[in-house]
Amino acid sequence: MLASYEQLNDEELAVLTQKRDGQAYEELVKRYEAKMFRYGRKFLRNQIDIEDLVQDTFLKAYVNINSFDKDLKFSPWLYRIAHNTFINAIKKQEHQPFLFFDPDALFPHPIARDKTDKIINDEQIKATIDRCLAEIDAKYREPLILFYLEELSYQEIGDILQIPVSTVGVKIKRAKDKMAIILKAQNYEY
Amino acid sequence: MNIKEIKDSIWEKLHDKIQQQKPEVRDKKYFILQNILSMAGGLVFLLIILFLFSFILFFISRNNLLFFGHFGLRGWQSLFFAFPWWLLIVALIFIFLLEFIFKKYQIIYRRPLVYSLGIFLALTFIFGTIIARTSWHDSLLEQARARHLPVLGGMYRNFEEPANLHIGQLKEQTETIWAIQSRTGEIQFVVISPKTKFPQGNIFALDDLLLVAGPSDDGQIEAWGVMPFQPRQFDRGFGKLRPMMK
Repeated sequence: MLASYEQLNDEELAVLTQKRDGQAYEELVKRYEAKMFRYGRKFLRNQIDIEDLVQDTFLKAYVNINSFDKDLKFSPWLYRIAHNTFINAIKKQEHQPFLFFDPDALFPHPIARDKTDKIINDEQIKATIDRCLAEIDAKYREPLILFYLEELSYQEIGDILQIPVSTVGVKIKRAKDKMAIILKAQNYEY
Repeated sequence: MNIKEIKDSIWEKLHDKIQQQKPEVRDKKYFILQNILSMAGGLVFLLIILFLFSFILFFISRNNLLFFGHFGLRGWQSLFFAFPWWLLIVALIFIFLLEFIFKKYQIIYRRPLVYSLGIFLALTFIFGTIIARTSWHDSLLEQARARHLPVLGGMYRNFEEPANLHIGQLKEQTETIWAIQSRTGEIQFVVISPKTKFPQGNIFALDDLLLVAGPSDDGQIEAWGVMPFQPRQFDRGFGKLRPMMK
């Protein structure tokens, strides 16, 4: 029976979960647990108990499964829940102030995307991200992880972080600029 | 325990948690209701913003605050101090709250915030101006004066007469002291000095309507500016002045 679940796509499994199909949700958890751990580990830099947070993410997803719109993709919806869970954990840990709006999302950034798209396939960046992640601000680190490590599109990242696509480009560009400075300081060729 | 071992056991742990805690899966109606409440909250905020903004425009128009601009720096200073800044601040706070309520929707967050804020501000300005030009605020003011407006009455009454701006009909005129009669029939004496500005000349006939700028103390106005006053259609309150005084 489980074999048939493996053949279903995420959205079909989510719809079955909405109909209280536990096996469908088990399949979804199995598909995403590694991604959620990787996302949490990279984003939170092991500061917090990631296992609890990933469990919390899946529990919230289960409780709120009926808010999932079957016409949209499942993955950004789940990442959005994980993002909120991780951000809340960081806020609790670091007592960060609550911001109404992301200052980067205030104004349009027309050229940001073009510049970043040129190096999407630059494998060297993927290889060097780990070296610098700890030193990059969380607000720039997250889009970097989602784009290069989770391989999500700009639009999906925009939907997860609820910011415009152009702002995603700006954040990735700033993260890369910061990475270049860090690598230069380490005398590493970038 | 390494990541692989944690991964291997997460479904079991999650399953156990679900079995133990028995969390209730939220019904679709819950999310529909949540959206309806968000929309209703947004609509209430929108109405508050429109009310506040149209009230500000009504207040400026009703009290002819823009006439201060004719009297130089002192006029602009008076305009600055007479302007209902706190109402504007409250309206702006509500615009930000409105943005905050709606920012979870794709149509809002997929565009830079400045666009949606700009659209909210433009709509507020357009519809606020339209509302200010209707007789709605006039009728509320009348109710407030008659003490028939329970909650907002105080606000309307408090915002009536701005300091340093007076309108009245010229009743007597000497070289340095003029007498004007206000809308309520009160006689005020206007002290004219060499420093008094007359942006549109100083030839006036008795019964002309005058706009006098300057501080008032015990029925005596130290005029730093005098100009003729023509009630416009927009200045409904003072439009009623002429027939009443004739």
